Amino acid sequence: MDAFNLVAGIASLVGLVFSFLAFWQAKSASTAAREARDAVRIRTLAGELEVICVRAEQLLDLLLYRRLPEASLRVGELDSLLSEISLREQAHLAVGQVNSLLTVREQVSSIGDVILRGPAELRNLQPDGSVIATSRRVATTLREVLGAVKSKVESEDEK
Amino acid sequence: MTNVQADLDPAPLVQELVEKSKSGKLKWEATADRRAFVVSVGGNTTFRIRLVESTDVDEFGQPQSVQIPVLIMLDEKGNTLWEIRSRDVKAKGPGLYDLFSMARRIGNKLDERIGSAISALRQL
Repeated sequence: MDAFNLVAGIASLVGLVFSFLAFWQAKSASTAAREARDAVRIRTLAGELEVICVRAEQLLDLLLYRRLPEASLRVGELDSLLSEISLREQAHLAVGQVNSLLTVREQVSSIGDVILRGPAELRNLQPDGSVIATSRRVATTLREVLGAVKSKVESEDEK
Repeated sequence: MTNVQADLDPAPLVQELVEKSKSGKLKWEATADRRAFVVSVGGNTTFRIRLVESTDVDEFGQPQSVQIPVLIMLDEKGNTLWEIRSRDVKAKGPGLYDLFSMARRIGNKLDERIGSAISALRQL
C-alpha cells in the first residue's frame, strides 16, 4: 500500500510539473501570437501611412500648380484617412504621434477652407504663402510619423 | 459627479495652456489661415485658437470692427466641444490674447527666426 501511495504521489507531482510546463508553453505561444499579430498590424499601419504621405505630397503638387478642384478632393480624402487612422490605430501609435496626426488633420482642413474661399485667397498659393507652407509642413510631419513607425517595424524584424 | 448647474469656467484651462506654451511643452502649429494656430494633446483633444472679426463700440459710440481671439476645443473626431471667447475668461490672469500671442510666436517659430535674423545682421 505504501509503495502504491509513493508511486501515486510521484505521478501526481510529475503531472503537476507537466501541467505547469504546458501552461508555460501555452502562455509563450499566446505571447508570440500576439506579438506576431501586432507586428502585422504595425506593418499594415506603415503601409497606410505611406499612402497618406503620398496623398499629402500630391496635395502639395496640386496646390503648387493651382489645380484647386483636384486639391479640394485630395483635402477631403486626406481628412477622411487621417480621421480613420488616428482613431483606429491609437493602440499602435504613441500619444505624440496621434497628436501629430490630429494636428495635421486640422491643418489639412484649414487648407480646404482657404481653397473654398476662392480667388481672393490665391495669394496664399504663392510658394511662400501660408497654404503652400502649411501643405509642406503637413507632408513633412506625416513623413516623420511614418519614419517612427517604420523604425518600429524594423526593430520588430530584428527581434 | 458633474455639477451642471455651475457655469464652466475656462480660466483654469486657459491658464494651463498659457503656462505649458510658455514652458515649451505645447507645440502650436501654424495653419493655412494665418490667423489660426492648432495644437493637439493627450491623443484625443485639439485646440484651435483663431482671430475672428467682431463689432465693438468705440469711445464715441460708433461701431468699429475688432479682431478677438476665440479658442475652440475639438474632440478626436474634429467635433467642437467648447468655444471660448475672450469675454468668457473672467478670472484675473492670462487671457486669450496672451494665449494667441504665445501660439503665434510658437507656430510661426518667431524665436528661431529672430535668432537667425540677428546672426545674419551681425555678419553684415
